[in-house]
Amino acid sequence: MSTAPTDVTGLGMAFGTLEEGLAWAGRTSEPKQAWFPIDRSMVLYYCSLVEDANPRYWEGDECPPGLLMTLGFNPQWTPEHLHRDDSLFALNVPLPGHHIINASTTTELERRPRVGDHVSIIEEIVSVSPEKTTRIGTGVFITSLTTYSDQHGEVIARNTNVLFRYEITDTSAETEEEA
Amino acid sequence: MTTTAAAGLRFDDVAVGDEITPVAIPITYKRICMNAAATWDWFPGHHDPEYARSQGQQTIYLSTLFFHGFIDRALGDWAGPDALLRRRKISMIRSIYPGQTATLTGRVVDRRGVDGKGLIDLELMVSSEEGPCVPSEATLQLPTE
Repeated sequence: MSTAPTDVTGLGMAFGTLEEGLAWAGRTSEPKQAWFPIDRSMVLYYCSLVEDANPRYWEGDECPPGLLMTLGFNPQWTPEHLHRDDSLFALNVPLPGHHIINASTTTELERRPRVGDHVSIIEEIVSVSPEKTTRIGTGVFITSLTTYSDQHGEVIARNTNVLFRYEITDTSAETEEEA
Repeated sequence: MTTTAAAGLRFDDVAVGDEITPVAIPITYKRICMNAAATWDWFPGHHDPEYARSQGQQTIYLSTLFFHGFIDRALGDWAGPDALLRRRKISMIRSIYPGQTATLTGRVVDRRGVDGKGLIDLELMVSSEEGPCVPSEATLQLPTE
């Protein structure tokens, strides 16, 4: 008896075979716009989290670059007619693994993000690695490149993310995995 | 030598080998909940202890977006608000949990002028009581005049 894959993360992961996943290398998402422009409350909540006193954020109109990845996330609930199923492109890669953990990110900044930027996001699946067994499980590393642009088409930043999509094989592991 | 920014570092103030001012921040359940809420990162490893343990983690743990902000904050504390982050790379090799302290240390490994801009490269490490957790790199552009 086969069991339908279950998305234990609740993030909308797609499931498929390793071969189906490998075929996603090179695919690019449709452009999507963040739900709303960068606003001051987002900036100040984030600065509170890391205790960042930078006056450019508290007294100016700039946004910490670390907040850029947030702009790709969808609300946890929306009215049905506003629902969007486009949170993270890397999660759309169909693969067998039920778990994910982030391995690394590289962010390159063209300019400081600002309050009022209404960011558009395009994601490309750069590569899907062959299957590897690590300390925490067996799976693949998905490398994706996300480009953040403002409402005028100017690129603000590019972020390369490496995500490990895996099945647990060693429950004694205590750490995130290195890419 | 450890340098500190009063009004902010300029390119000529910095030499290869300089250490950044270390920054430590206590990690609590509250801060990890703030982490999810402030960044919209609702991956369950960052708010659901049962899920985190099913991953082999001790409990919920800090996310990628926390480390982005924490590193950038520490670099700003050291170099001043006019320092512009040009590049940041982080790798997660060990999680950080409630009850631990996240501490960033680092040093300047290169300084270079590119198209009239003063750039410095740094090697960084976020550690907890358990050891190195997030080896990182950053490039800052500093004022030249």
